[in-house]
Amino acid sequence: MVKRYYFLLFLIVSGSIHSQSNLNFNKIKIPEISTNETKSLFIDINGFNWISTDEGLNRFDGIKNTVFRSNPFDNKTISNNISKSVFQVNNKGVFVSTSSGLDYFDYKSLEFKRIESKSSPTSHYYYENYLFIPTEDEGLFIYEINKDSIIDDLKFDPRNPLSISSSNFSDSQNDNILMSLFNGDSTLWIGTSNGLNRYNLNTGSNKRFYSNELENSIPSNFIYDIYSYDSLIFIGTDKGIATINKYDNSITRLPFFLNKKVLPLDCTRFGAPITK
Amino acid sequence: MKNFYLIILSFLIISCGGGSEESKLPDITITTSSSEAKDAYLESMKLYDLRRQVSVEKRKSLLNKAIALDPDFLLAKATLYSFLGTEFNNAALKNVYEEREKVSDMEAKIIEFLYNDRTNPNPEVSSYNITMLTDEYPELWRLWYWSGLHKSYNPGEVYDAIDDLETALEINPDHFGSKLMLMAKHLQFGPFGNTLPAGEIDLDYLKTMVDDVEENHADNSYTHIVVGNYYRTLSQFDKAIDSYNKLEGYQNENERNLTMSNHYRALANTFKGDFDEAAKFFRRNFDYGGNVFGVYNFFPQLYLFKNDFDAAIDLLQEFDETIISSGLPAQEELNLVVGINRLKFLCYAHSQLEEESLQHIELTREAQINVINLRKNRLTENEYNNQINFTNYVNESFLIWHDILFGNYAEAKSKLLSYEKSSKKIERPDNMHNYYVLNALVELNLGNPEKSIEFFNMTNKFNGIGQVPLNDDYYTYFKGLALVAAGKKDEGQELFKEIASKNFYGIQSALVRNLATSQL
Repeated sequence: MVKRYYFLLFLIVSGSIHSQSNLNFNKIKIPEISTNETKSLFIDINGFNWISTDEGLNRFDGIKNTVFRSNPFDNKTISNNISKSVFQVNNKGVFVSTSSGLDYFDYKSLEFKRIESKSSPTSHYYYENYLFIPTEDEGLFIYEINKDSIIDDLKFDPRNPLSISSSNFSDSQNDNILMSLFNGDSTLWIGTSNGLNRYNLNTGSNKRFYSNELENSIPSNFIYDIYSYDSLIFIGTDKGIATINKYDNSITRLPFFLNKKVLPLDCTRFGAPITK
Repeated sequence: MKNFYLIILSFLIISCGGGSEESKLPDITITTSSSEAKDAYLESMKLYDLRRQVSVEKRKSLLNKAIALDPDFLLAKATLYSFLGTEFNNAALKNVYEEREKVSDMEAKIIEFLYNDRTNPNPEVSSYNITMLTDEYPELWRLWYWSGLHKSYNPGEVYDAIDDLETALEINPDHFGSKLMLMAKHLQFGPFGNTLPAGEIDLDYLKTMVDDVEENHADNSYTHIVVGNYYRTLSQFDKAIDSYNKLEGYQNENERNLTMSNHYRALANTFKGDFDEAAKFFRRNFDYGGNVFGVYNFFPQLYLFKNDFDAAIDLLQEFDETIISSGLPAQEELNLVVGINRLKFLCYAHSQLEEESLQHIELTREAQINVINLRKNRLTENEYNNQINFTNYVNESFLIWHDILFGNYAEAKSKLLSYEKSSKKIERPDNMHNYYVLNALVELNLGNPEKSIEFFNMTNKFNGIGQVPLNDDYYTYFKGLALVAAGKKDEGQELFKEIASKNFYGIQSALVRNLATSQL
């Protein structure tokens, strides 16, 4: 069984290496950028370059750069000058993660709207009309885009063993949220900085997975990445990869990756699991 | 020979007594050379039976008066330092115990009972003492009453307690204390021991008893608390509040009636869900400076019932700042500091503020050590060491609980290994209770409900070591969750119903009552 997956990984690795061979780099000078210490760059659907920095968010159209800064007395400005990243899920605007929360920049009004996430987003996962946003220390919230409302807020509750295993997520995690439609259930896999969760969106029940000394547990509680393939969920952690069988929750650690920090698992993007 | 004369003397004193029906009944021997001392002693006992919570100062003064009138009054001394009294001084109690041969055989045995009750961690020993006394003197209602009283606090002896209290009531049919203790088996209120299991609570019997005290003890202000608590149990809060209102009319009897009235109205309003009104009554007592213990311990719990940990912390912060100027005796002040820090730990832990949680576990330990050091000269060396060890054990319990509350289950499991050894060193029959509960919580959170239930079943839910609120409703709630998770939904629901229908204040209920309700 395991051999089959290595073979699969090998095929994906070969294909992906080929597709990455003709990248071109140009040095661009951004006029009046807020600071040269940039955190991320995102090119939106309209071709704007969004450059996140610790001193504001820059939007560069190729000629002119506009800096967006926070104003505590105006909630139509960005929520914090420390912007972390920008992403897009439709053609109406972009989302901005800052060190305080999540904002939405509307192309029409050219204004920001603050979404009450209470804590800084660490990544995002988009599924149909929903955004799943893990935050640094306020759990994971589910935002319904069309209705512009937070419909659920999943947190660790010390008095509820069915709550998710931790409210803490980290910027160093990658694709740590995953929707899996399997056997009629809508399952949300949530990788936190302390444990993995299989959350049933239909019933609201949750099963936690923790690492322990047994081989049939996940290798570590710090989850970097989650990837679905067929009936298996691949879990990348800071101490290796494990697979979870969607049918029976059985866990198998992949010996080749043992004690290796596994970063992105999505082989279609990165060629092979990246390890350190 | 000397003892013989003393017995004759005490019987003479008793036979000279007159007055109420109760005083005509045969009673224990009371060895004293002063009839005034004996009267003061009996008056303090009567107050204990009528309303022990609000008569502490009066009883203390009466017992001290009896001892001042007769410095050899051993029974009064033993009473003062026992559960029937108002003082904690095991060293003094030990001296009385060692002198017990100077009084009648019956009194010597009573002193032995009181001594063991206070100093022996195994309640079976003092139960044996009092049972021997009732066997030897079955005609004495007071011994039956004391026996029932004592056994009411041991979960394993609740049925024996009922038998003994009923016997006391047969001999002395108008005894309020026995009626109160019998009602307390079906109605949870205050420090009156264990109730019967939920399935055995008899509300019809309770109604009969409530009618009885309303009819025959209407002049006793405490009756209105009993009646109020009965309606509170039935969730008829307005009727309960009406009854508590009546206490205000007894202020000439004791000024504490006013603060007790405020206190009980605060509690009833909490259960009613009228938190602002509840806070108003607590605030009245806080401003008045009355019922300090009630305010400091119960007011923050109001916010826990409301699931508002931030508000609870704000209030505890206020208490922290005002306690120094409260003018309380050092011992009481330190006890309150222990309580404040313990509550802060619970609030911070449930708010997921890790550093603050750990900080207040340590502050709780420090304050508890200060409490022990303050009374060091009243403890034997062995008792002192035991209390320090116990404090460290409580601290260990909190640290493991902290790990569980923050999801650090592997760490909790590792600490449980050494905690098992610490638990075994505690000289109590229920010394493993917390160990089992903490294990059960870890297993439940790790998704092993069957294993969790195994641990829950190793202990009795009523047991639990004071200062670590892992018993009662808190325990029951998690056991309910484990049962549901293991597919035993009906059994789990029964437990949630039990918690949700209980209108009683307590840190355990405050933490989980609403959660249990939401599970139904």
